[in-house]
Amino acid sequence: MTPLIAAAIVGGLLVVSVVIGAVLRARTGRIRAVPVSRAAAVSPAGSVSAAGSAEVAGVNETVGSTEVAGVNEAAGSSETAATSNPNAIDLSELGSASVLGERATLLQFSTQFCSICPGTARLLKTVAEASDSVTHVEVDLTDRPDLANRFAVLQTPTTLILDADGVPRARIGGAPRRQFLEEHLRNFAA
Amino acid sequence: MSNATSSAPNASARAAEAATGAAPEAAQAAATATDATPPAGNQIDPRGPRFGASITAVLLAVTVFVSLLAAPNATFAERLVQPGFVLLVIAAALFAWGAFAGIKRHPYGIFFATVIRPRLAAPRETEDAAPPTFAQGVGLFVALVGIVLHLLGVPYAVPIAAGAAFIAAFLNSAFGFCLGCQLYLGLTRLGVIRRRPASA
Repeated sequence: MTPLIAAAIVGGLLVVSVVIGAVLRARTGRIRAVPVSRAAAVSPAGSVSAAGSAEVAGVNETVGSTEVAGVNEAAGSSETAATSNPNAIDLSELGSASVLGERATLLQFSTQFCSICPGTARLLKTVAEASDSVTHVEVDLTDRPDLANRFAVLQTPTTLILDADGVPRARIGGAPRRQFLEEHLRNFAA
Repeated sequence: MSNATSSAPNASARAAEAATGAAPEAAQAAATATDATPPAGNQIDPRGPRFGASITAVLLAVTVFVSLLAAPNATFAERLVQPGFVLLVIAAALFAWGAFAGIKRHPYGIFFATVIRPRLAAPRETEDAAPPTFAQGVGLFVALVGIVLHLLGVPYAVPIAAGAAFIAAFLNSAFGFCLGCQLYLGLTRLGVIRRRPASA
């Protein structure tokens, strides 16, 4: 191989790297709505994930329908049967002692190998404290691949925005962007 | 991928802390450095790994270039001394140093801490050493795959492995890309990484 071709390949590698970096930067931190009807349709066993992959479906079976049913009764005790949602997340199932925010909960998934997670936790905590009836909950998935499967978490931080019933309404992959998050929470249905 | 377990004693303590669901207060307190003193404990200046990654990226780019110039039909003895291969072995040794001795004891890390950091303003925040140490382990794995395939006579094993590691190092350096954020859960979900359960 001539040096010119080798140099061109190295240059191409650099261009590819820049493109990957730009795409990752553009995609990270976006707030994506969780399609509620679809999530409900694909997850009769109580999955809260919008991703209907076979992998997730397999995990659903291990979650246990009786457990989820019990959760639903508790969550929907003051509601009619029609509003109780099988997608509602019970924080105690995630090993968290926190309670849901009255209006919204920012559920952040982190690992110990994630350098941007502590900064994201500080941001979400600040935003939650500045917002009305919003709480921030951080769950460490380092030793919980089962939870990573259940919620289809591939990157950290991943943040789910839960409504008052604990149903995920939106999902943020990567470090959230403060301005968009604050705007989203202002418009978030009570 | 044994590096994933090497920081487990420290990590499990934090896991117990984080398992309560509250934001890790200790990490948060340690994360707000206010003066130029070196970060305490396992906390590091986040600019350190990015500085090291830029040197690594240059080394790997040179490795790709040099290895592409090598003659294709080399004998095993010839392959052993090809400059591109030697450079990849050096890169692997540096990755191993970071993965096993820790990012703070890596030559680049020591150089950053002693020569460069004193000339910079204090960082806005510090970060845990575990994520960049994990990234060093991934780099080591990729480099080792390239080394083994090259020794087995697979053509272009060195430039492909060096190229893959280059992309990660370049993204870390230029974009602040965090390999542990993107890769760790995927690898655990695939069962590639198995950690012993947290003592909590």
